[in-house]
Amino acid sequence: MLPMSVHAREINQISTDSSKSPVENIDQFFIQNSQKKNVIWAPKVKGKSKYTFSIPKNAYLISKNHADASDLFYLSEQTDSGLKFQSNKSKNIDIVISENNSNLILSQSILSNINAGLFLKNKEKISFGVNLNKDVIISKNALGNFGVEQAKDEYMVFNAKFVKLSNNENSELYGNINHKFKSNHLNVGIGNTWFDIANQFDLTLGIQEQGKKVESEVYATFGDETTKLQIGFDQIKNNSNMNMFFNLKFENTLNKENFGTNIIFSSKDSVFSLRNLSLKSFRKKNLDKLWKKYMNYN
Amino acid sequence: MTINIMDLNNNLYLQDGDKLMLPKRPSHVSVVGAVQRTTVASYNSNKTYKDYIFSAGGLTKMADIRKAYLLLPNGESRLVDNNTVIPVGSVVVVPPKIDKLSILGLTDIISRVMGNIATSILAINNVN
Repeated sequence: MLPMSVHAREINQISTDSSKSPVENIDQFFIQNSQKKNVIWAPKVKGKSKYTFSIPKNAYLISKNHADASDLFYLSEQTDSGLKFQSNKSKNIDIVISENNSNLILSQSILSNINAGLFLKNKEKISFGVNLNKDVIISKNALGNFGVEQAKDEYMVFNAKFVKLSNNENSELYGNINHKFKSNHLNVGIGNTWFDIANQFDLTLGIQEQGKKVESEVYATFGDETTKLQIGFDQIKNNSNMNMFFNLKFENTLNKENFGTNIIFSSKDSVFSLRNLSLKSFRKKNLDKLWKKYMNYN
Repeated sequence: MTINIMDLNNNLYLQDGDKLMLPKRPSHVSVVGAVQRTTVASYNSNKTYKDYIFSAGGLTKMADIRKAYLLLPNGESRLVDNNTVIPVGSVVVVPPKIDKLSILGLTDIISRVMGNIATSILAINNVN
């Protein structure tokens, strides 16, 4: 008989799938595990996490005593654990309004990282259908999303998106593919966004091919995570006209944890590149904001 | 010898003559540098660095707000933005701008150099 060893790994991480706040979960963890000296908390952004905090018990109890978690932020070890899925039971309403192309998409996570939903599109004609998509973690810093849309009386459409955060977290590279089966319809786009230029805005440079038209675009994004104004220029290759455009985005307008409401107004005809993936909120720079949002004792 | 009792894993037995110091938790954040008045502002966990600068009367003309940083109680420092967690006892530092040569300053330097050259030429001519 072969000798066998069992490696048991201590799990110090608190659960994020309950309706309790992180503080309540940490309290419960230390009550149930009185011998543990620290607890791991991974703040969740849209059902995923990247950084974790290792919170020491002594410092936690003192900060709780003072009802102030600001110094605990600096006493907790921050580790880049790479992108990971957390529990996600969210519902989303996405509304895109542009002059000739408007969408209404209702979706709900049915499994940990699969979303299913219904959509209503108004492009040349009104179409109604169902969609299914799945998030995929490609690497520590890269996220993908693959999905299909089936509209009534139309061929199925395949969508793929990816985004990769640079190692220094100052920029991200994104890409989109959109293909309608049994047709020549293929849209491909790729671009790069540089964050916090002069601490004022993000700058995006992108190129996309839609129906054999190659279009380049450059735009600046102003605002915060909930309200964004994008202003820029796009130009179709072999067409000397450069057009100015704007997008106004309201994200999570109802400010609900599990009910996302996103509204986009756009002056562009094409809404292909309007719903890019982004990992901006997963940067280390965003940890302060997450800490302030979730770690309060009131 | 000074020992931080929070760093010890086991109980510490005190002896006669030992002094147990329990420092009072501070209740302020200091603001120094290119602000109207260096100040010690009352701490509130909801305040941002801009609120503390406001408590110091605002910025001076020389302030380089983009390079403002936070000096933490443990000696570390980091740049601040509106979301930065500011702990009690820390110091918000607003450095002054290191000015590039202004037109007025440049004119002053050039005129002085030209003046010196002219004086030298006159002196040499007189000697000749």
